[in-house]
Amino acid sequence: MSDARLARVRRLLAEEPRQDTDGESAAGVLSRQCRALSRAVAARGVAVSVVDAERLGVPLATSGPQVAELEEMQFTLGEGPSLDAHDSRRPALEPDLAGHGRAIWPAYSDVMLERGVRAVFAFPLQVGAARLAVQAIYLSDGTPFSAQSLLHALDFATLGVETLLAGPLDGEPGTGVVNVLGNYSEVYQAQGMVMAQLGVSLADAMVRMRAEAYCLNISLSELAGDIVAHRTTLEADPVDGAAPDA
Amino acid sequence: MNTLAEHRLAEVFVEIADTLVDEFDLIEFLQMVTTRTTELTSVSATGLLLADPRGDLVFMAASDESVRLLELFQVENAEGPCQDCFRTRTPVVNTDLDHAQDSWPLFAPRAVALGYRSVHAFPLRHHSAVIGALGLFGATSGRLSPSDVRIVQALADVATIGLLQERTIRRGLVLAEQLQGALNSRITIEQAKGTLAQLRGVTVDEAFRLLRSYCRDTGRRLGDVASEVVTDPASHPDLTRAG
Repeated sequence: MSDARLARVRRLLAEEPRQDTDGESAAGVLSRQCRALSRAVAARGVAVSVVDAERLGVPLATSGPQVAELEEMQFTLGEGPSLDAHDSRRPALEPDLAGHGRAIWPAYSDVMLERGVRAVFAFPLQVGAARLAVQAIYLSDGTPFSAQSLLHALDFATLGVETLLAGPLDGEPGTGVVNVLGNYSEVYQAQGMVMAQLGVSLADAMVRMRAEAYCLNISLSELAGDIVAHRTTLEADPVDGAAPDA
Repeated sequence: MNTLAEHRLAEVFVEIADTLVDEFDLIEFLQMVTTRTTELTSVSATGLLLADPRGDLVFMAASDESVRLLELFQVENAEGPCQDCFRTRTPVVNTDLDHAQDSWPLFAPRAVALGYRSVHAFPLRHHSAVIGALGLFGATSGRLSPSDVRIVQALADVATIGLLQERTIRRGLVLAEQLQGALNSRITIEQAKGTLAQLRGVTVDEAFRLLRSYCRDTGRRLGDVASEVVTDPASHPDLTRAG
């Protein structure tokens, strides 16, 4: 993320008051991010849900209780943008539920329209094949979704990925994985290698790499370069505390 | 371009048209475009970069997918012919790398170190927007002829068509969906390269060759196999088994 965009996301988060219910868990941090994004794009609400292999979804965090109810609808009905975004591994952006949306999700679109929701935009929170969750933005009638809104949505999706991968490393949002998720092939290659070597999931492999980079006080891309070149091997047991091979 | 090359060009466009008819793997398609561009123009290597919605140029495919070429393309996010082409929306052709150190202090020395002498870059155009760039590297300081320039731009346009496979573009948002999907497929392929490198005890470059030839032999799509390899390596034992 560029400095300007990082600054903007941080400002939006800072302006968003904490709530007692947030807590320190990933879900609590995500709830605040949902509220900040919802405010930034003037949405009815924002929700982040986990979708499993059977396409069953569970809301993990929402900007408010009414959105939780909206979000549940697509999992009850078995159709909707978050499910499509999960399946296709790309955003499902529907600005017109009454038109195009109805043709692809007839039952879901009717239920949303009855509740005054005219547009839904769903973004997968993912790193390659590691699908972590889906972020959905609900808009009421007459609210435009601008190019700026799209950038906000993508930035908060990236932030959501970071939060789900064990949060920012130094407590400042946007400093962890966000800066390297973008253009560094080696980070993803190393992630695949660590996954195969340790027999963990792709997401866990990234969590391990981030923790290791933090411990060694080097950047994630630097660590990734070492892993790919076999200069560093992560140990199987993280609590062992053994130093990595030089 | 001589008559033989013209005949080959016709074949290439037929091949591309055939690909676009069926459901196809986008990365594999883009790689075919880069390979054919390299063959038709006698350059050494061709790569394709896409702009993500943030305006960053991200590597998608190359005729020679080696670590060293990937690194060179990653520099393009900061500076280089593709970056210039993306920003100015016009082709950058026949640039002599020996005289490009001032314009591209990061990019030019690296490209020269890899044995390249000339570079060219062509925009991937969609209406008035530019969504990416095709970069060509030559081992000699040879120039592209005016007809070569037209042909490469046509190939770049074809790549754009493949990218925007849904014929009717719905409010520009489809483009954002497609690009995000393509960028994520690219990440999945890198993850699969790493997974295979670890499981087979080979380099990531060799891992990609294994992945490609396995897909060719089995008629499977690159993106699908890459995704399956990282989520369940045992699902492709012939590919993931060591030795």
